[in-house]
Amino acid sequence: MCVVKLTSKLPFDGALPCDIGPVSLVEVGIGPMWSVAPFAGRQADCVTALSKIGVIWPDVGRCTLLSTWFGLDQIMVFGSTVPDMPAAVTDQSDAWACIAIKGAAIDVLARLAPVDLRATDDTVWRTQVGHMPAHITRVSADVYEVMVMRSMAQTLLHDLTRAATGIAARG
Amino acid sequence: MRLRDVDTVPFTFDGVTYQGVVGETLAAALIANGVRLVARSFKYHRPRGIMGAGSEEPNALVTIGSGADAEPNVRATVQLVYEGLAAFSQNAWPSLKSDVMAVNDLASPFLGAGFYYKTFMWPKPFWEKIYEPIIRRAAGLGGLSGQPDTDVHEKPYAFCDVLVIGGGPAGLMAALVAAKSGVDVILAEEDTALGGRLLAELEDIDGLPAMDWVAEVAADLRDMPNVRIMTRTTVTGAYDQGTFGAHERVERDGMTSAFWRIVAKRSILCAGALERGIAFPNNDRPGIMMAGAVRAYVNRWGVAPGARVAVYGNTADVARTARDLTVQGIDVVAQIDAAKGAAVVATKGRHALSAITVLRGGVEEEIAVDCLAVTGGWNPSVHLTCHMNGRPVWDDKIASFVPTAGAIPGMVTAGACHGVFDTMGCLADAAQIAEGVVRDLKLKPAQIDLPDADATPYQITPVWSVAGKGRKWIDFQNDVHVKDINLAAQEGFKSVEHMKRYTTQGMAPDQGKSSNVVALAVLADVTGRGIPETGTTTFRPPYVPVPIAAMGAGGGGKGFAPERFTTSHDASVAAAAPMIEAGLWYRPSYFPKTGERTWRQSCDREVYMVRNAVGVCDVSTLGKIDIQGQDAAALLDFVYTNTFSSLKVGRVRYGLMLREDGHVLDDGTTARLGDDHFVMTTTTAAAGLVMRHLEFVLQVLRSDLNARVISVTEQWAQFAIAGPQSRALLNGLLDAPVDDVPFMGWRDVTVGGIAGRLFRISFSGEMAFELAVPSRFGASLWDALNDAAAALGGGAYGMEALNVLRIEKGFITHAEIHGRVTAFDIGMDRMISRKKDCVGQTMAARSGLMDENRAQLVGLRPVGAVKQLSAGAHLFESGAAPIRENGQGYITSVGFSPTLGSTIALGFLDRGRARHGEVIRMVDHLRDLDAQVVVCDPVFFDPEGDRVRG
Repeated sequence: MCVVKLTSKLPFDGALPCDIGPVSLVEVGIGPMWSVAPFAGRQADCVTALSKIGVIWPDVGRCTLLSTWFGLDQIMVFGSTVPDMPAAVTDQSDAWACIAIKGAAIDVLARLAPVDLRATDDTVWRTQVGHMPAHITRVSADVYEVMVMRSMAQTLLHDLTRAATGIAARG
Repeated sequence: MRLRDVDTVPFTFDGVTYQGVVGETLAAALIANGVRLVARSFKYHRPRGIMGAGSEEPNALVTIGSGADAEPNVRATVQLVYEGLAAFSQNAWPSLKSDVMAVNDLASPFLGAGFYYKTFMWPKPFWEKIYEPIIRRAAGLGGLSGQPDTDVHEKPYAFCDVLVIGGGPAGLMAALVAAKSGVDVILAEEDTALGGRLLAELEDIDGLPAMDWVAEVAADLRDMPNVRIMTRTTVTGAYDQGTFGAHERVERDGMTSAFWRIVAKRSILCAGALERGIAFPNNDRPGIMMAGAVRAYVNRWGVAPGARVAVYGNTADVARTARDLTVQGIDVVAQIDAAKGAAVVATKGRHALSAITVLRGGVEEEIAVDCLAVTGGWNPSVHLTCHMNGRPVWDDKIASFVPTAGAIPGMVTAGACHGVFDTMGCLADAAQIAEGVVRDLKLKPAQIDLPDADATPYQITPVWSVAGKGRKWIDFQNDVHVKDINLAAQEGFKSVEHMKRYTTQGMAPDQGKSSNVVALAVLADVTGRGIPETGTTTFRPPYVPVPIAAMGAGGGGKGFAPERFTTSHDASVAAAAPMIEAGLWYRPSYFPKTGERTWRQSCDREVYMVRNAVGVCDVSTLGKIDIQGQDAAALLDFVYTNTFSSLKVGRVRYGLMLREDGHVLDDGTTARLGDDHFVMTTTTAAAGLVMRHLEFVLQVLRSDLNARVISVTEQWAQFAIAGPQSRALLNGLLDAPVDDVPFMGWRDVTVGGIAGRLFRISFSGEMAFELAVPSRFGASLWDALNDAAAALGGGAYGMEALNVLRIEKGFITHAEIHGRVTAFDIGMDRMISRKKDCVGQTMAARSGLMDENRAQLVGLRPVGAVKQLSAGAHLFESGAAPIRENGQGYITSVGFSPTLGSTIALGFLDRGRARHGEVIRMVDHLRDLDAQVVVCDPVFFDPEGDRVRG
């Protein structure tokens, strides 16, 4: 029996970081990420179970340090393990590709996402970026993170680059 | 002639080099250089000059640049001069001065409104092939290059609390009040600078030049973080839910324009007003301009439109224009007060105005002039308020239309577009309106002290047209004159909408901005109705022309659709595999080896390899849906035709899914991971569709079910290992042997210590497995699988081989389950369990969907001289004429089977299952193929399924 050694690869695999005019694009390693979708009527139990490991359940459209809202009855929790709880828990660590946009992030996303980005820090959106389903997080006034399906990483990079190039062209 | 000393740069118009000032409009620069003739009219090729100073300009349309990037129909009044600008006149040949098509003008008595409709009726086929192409060539504006546009455009979004449309005195005041009250404001202004009419007028505000006040307010607004000023941005349309389209001209290297979608909680329209003309005889000669435009050229741009100027009109603007010209030392040779009955009754000058004839107190007098400034009054810019079918109302005081309140939800109007024409009135109106908007947003309006400004009331004596010999032009862009409108009415086109279509008045890029009110006043006059009853035509978006390229910005090339790449993508490309798109995914067609010259050679080898050794293939693109919950099995029983609640943990089952109408939605396998935990696979094409279907079932049809679904398609990289050597390959690769995994079973496995899942399922009919690992290890595992396969005489196979393998086995894909077939048609009606309910069960049982005469899935093989079969070909009885009426079915999939040494096909044939052995005819009219084929079972190879069980 041969001994195979598998090596891991990030979605952008060395294509980042890059700078375009005032905009920097940086790959964000997502790390272990679990979707948590409580079974009917059991959200309160999940909130309690997660709080015991220091994870705060995020409100709709918000994120916390270790969790983020992801859709109807669904959040993502970051961390190597999640506690037993009455929820559908699914490993999503490898399903998404994430880029942090630094500098003129709102201007970049205004060219791709049909959402009002005027918001407080830790606001998140499930929306589209270009033609892709996406999850956007406002980290700070100048830094936004965008997650798309892993297979679409190259298109995200293409679309962000085009938007940033347009901003750079305006000087 | 220039009135001020300025620095200039060279630009060209029709190849002649002139000097212009960077940032001034091309119109201003042409006037400064004494260029009077700038265009030929649309229909009669009449010589035309610059008439206006803004986006409403109907005459001075030019083409900017040449080659692929040439932009036609640009109004010279909005194009800015830059060094090296190259502008060209349009609609003239061989030159602007001697345009042969001007012969149309001589024939004008025969070319009036409705001419085409009456003349080119016979013979009927001539219209499309002969008349229309000739007319289109003779009449027209600028043309496109026919080459791909290389300009760069953007399509951004913007959001605000209050959108102020227009940056004139009213817009500035409205923005100031709203911004100081703390709301987020976007101030959109079409011009390069804020100020609106104040840019063009000699007026004082608070005892200082009005532009000082504008500069102060603009600086104030710029300093506020809650204000965004967008100049050169024209709001082009008002749409639902506070959404507006806006076109921004950028004109920087690498960027041409942007089409914005602005969403605002409230909007304040401060679009101002547009000046209208008077329809007097031959009022279209180059040099006859709007009075307000003349003031703009003199006061703002410092260029003189003429040396001997007459002013004609019916408001105080006549005196104002004369005053401004005199201040600049320009000779004002006549002031013709239409309000007192004076009129211009004739003009002279072919390529430039040389004289006018004035009728005053019954006496005609010819006056030599090179410019005539005309005003017929002002029309509020009501356009945006009409974009949702609102109709403006007539206001006798200003003899024009004003917006109807509430025509656009959330929009209010202020200033001149609200019918308030004096500066002081505009400021006060805007402040009051903006305060109301702020209160409406539940905030306290800031109090702004109103400055002291001109409050001279607007007075007008309506004058629409003047009698006299010669055509009295109304719509300059479409060459419509008074007689055309009279003719329309005379021929029964009395409704304003009919008149518009009969005469073409108000169409084309300027949308009748300067002509609409005059046209309907003339129509009202001839039909004996009042103007209010006559009404207006419908103003539609866009307010100004928007390049389609801007609306489609980002949609070209790779922006057209996302590209989805598997983790093995780079390796496939490196192996020179041609990639084909499949539902946004890119998948390898085949993996060419040295010496293989055609795709068929590679495909045949790959099929042989799978049937005789082992092949590996990336199947990550198939949809994977994780289903959990106490009712997970019940959900599957409800969405699949067959039963899944009886499936044991560790086993996999094939399932068929129907739409509610009883037709097949998708198929795939589902594995039971635990009592309350399943993972479903879907086809690549229907992955999103099935996910949506499951959500719909859980949220709508069966909200009683306690189950959760989530896509894990992207989480797992999954590879098929197919062929007699597949188990040997896996036993050499995985951390533990897999001899105990039965057909249609699955196990947790580890590979190099990495946890994965192994499913023993087959789409090739061979013993086969699918191995899934987290995507980050996909690329690495693909390499390992290739190495292991090569050691066993195998290797990678692509979509072509995969397709042949499944056709040999009669396995269906969406080529077969294309949306119009039922379980009965594909021979799977027995899979619809009667022991439980499922989506589509009732509808699938309709007699029409179970009719023995329906087209049924069959296999087909060539038996005649022609061996080639084609997907899409139609089936006929042997000897029947290949016409639609005789059609009995069609072919859905075709492949050459190296295993069987023959082309084979799957298709649907009327009563097909009862016709195995019958020889029929296949005809492909598109590819000119006509073949004899024998009908057979769709499973061509290993019908007993011995190989798959190993």
